[in-house]
Amino acid sequence: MRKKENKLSMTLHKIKEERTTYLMLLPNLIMFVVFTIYPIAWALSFMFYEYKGFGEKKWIGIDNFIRIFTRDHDFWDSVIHTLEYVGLKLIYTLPLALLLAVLLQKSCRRNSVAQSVIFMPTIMSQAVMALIFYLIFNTYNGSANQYLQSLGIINQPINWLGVNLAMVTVIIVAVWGGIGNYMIYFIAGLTGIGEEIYESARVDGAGDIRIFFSITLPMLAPVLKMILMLALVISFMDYQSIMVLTGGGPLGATNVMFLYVYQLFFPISPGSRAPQEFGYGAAVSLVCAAIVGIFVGIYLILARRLDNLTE
Amino acid sequence: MKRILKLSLLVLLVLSLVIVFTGCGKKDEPKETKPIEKSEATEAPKEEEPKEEASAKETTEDEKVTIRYWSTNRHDKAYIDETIEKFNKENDKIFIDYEVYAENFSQMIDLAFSTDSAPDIFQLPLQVNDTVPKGYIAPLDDFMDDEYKARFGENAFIEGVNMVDGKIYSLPYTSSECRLFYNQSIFEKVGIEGPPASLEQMVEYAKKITDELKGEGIYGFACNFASPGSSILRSVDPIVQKSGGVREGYDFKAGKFDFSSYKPVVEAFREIFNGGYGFPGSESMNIDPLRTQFAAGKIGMYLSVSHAEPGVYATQFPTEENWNCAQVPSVGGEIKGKQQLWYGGYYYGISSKTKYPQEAWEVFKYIHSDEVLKGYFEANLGEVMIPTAKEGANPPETYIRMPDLQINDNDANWPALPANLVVEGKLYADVFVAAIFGQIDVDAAIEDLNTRYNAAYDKLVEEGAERIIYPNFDPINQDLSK
Amino acid sequence: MTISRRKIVFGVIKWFLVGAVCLFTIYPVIYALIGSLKTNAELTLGGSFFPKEAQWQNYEYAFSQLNFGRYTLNSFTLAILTVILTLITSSMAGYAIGRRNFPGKGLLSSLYLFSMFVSVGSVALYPLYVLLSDLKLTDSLMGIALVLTGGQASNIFLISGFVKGVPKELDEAAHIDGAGIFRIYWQIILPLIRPIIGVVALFAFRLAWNEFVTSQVFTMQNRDLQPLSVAVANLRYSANAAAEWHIMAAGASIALIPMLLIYAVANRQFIGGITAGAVKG
Repeated sequence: MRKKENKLSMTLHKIKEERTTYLMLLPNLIMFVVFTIYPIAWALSFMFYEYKGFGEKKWIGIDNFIRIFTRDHDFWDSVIHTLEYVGLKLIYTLPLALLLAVLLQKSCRRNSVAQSVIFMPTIMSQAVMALIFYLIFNTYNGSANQYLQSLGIINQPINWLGVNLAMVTVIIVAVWGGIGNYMIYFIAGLTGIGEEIYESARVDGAGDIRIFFSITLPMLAPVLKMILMLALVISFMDYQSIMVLTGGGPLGATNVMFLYVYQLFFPISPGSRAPQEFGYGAAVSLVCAAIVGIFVGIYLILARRLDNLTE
Repeated sequence: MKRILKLSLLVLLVLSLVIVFTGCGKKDEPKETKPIEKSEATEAPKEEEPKEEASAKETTEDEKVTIRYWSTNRHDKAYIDETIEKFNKENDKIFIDYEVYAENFSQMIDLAFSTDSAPDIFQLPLQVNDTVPKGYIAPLDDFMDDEYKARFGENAFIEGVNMVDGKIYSLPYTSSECRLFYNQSIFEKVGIEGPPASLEQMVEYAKKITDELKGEGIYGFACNFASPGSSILRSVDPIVQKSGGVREGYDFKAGKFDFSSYKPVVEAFREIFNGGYGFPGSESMNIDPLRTQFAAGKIGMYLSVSHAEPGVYATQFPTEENWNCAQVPSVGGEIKGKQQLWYGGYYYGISSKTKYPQEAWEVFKYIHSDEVLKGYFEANLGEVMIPTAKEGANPPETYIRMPDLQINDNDANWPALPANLVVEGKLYADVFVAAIFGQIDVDAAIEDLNTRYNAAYDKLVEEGAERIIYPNFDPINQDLSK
Repeated sequence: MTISRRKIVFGVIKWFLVGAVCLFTIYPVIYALIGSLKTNAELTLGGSFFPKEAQWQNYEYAFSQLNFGRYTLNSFTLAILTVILTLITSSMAGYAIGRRNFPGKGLLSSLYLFSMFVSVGSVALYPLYVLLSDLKLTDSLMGIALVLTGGQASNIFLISGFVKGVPKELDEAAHIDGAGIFRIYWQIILPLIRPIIGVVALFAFRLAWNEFVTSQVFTMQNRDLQPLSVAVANLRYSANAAAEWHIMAAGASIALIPMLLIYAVANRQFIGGITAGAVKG
């Protein structure tokens, strides 16, 4: 009895002591609750209803979810497109970023300049750059086709934003925007590995490539794990530049999950007669969050297994 | 003590910032809307003007009522801007704030109403019987007397077009009709004499032009499929209607959705686009980029609406090409149905939540006035539907050169469609565009659409909507008797 | 091959690759900047890399006809608002988490960490929009600034990491002198973590300047409040978009140049900030 009372009163006493701390935390906490928690709560409260934006909310139980899993082919198409996007983007971005990091990790003047240039896309607005890429990859007036044609590489203009190649173009833009960011992360990780290890390896006669695979990579593993997970999550939620570049089209070829959700709230195609579907949108967004969670979970499990193997 | 003081100072600082910036960022008080010079760049002095005007207006701001007026039309913006400016100069009590929203207009309106910031007057993005149940627009009957109603001509007010449950919600304004636009020089180059007389001929011509002129980058047919709704509605739908089919999938005689009459038309389009005869990149092209390509002489034919094109090729994308306008072809060349007007009989509405109904009506009257619409007609910005406005007006030059631009007996308003349908999944336009590009089979598409649309409508009927059915209906006679 | 020969070959390969990537990275930016000085025909029909004659009037047109002056002002206002709000709230919160032990600290940190990974994405836009309209915050940029500030848990961890690096003895010395929790924050910690405060300010500025979707949704009805990123993206759908590529390039350049200038001066700080974040993470 006494012990419990003591613990409680100790906690209360601590709270009193740290009043100011709580006050200092308050502004950020309020914003956090309002802007991060509240929307999640809103989505959770709407997912069992049908709501068109006007009129009444109608309780329909789990019908929204039944619809997602049985009748909505477009949603699962968008999931596949998302996986395509995430997979391709990471496959092309990460190895390149790692290579660049290894090449540019030593801090000398030239390397710093190169680093800054390659990092530049991260400070620019994705939407603005998507517009520029839209101009560059435009089939008839874009400079990409103009250069390719003047160099004689192609005869007819390539339809970059057409059904077949839109995803490719989207990936090119994504890689363009992402290399710099991941390169810097890798450099941060690489600099964590001390020089001495390399030196002793060199003394033992190991060549550069051997050093990379037997020393650098394994030592980088924990950082790699973290970066990969971050990259995974961020890529799943990427939809801004796709929205500006293709609008999810053409014919839904580049429609990714979160863009699909956006369209349920703010329909993009003009002249569409469908009223918005907020209840359904809330349900879909929760399924999306769950899907991301599942993939992250799978990844973590795999990563742990790999850890166990290498040890 | 000091610590608390410092903390409260900080809080005060944040609060004052909030107040300052909340006030600072407010929308600029009424400024001059300038007509936009399309071709030349403007001189610097124009920038100084608005600032002074704005501050002068601020002093009299409290007396003037601001009426917000939203539309989606780009092609007539310059003209409307002028008429608005004139009104604002001459009227002491009311200031019109005119905004053009080209994209996502329908859901902008929805958003505006759901956050209580709706405009006072706006172009109706959907039919009246979609908009009225939402509670967005106010009935206009009390504002009008019989004399005013007479200026709109006989049979101007039709249930389902601009009336719901016997009350008038919108007025006839301008209309537009779908037409075929083609490049005569290209036709001559390949030896085609005139516009296609049937759907089959249109496909044949498209193939011929593409086959022969592809090397020069010229193709026979194009369409703005980047917006499926807008493109299908101006190309596939009028052909379906004219060939004796349905309106946007709804069979009025049977009282249900039946997309089977779309089959020949969608298959024809598929032959063109999936067969490689269509303008490359059509699937991601919007109407304006399409028009620039047409203006550059790269496209043989395309379908669009009669009110915009003349203005487009005169001022927006001026062209030297010898282009002309023809009627929309039909399956087999026979006319078996009327073509739905692209806006005809209704246009604008007054918000039910407006704070100044009287002033809004004043502006509404001005928008629909003879003065404004006469100039509109003469500038060839649209087919005006108000007879009194056209009296004594000089028909625009393009009407004389291209009589097919005008409205004719075959253009009419079909009955109103079921309203506020919530269809699960893709809408019919998106499905058909996918079929046109060979992504799905046409028959499968039609079956899927029938299933989903009827399921949605059956649900609406179950919930109490009355099923729309006219047993004696057919597309050409449009007999609505029961 | 001798070792030095190898080094040369290696160097050539390295700089070839790095050079190619740099070119790839820089090209779109150059395209926009140089394109903004061309006529529409020069841009769309291609031809020479440089414009025949610099068309400065493109910028003039954007500022006077298309209201870009207003949009630029909006971008700056939004950015500064966001920076101020972020600095105040994140630094206090970062200090609390980095320095103080209080009941609920573990829970709070996990919550923040969690929020960095889990997001419902676009669904948040609609309820937040309705909420802010009810609070009458959609008439100014303050609403957007608040939303942007609320979503940056990573800054708190950046700051708390740095705070942990400040020696505790300084705290204790001040405490003995009678300073309270807030005083320690204000007079001891803050001055010592200035570098990371600078980085947080940079990040907040960049976020506000570049943010698109949130700004677009919240300014849908108030054209005048749009920041540059939204205005530029909307150029694509403007009346004359198809015929005004040079204006679009000019608009894009107006949006890019301020960030580029800041980057030119502070690029090592940006990179340093990411590095610091990565190390702590």
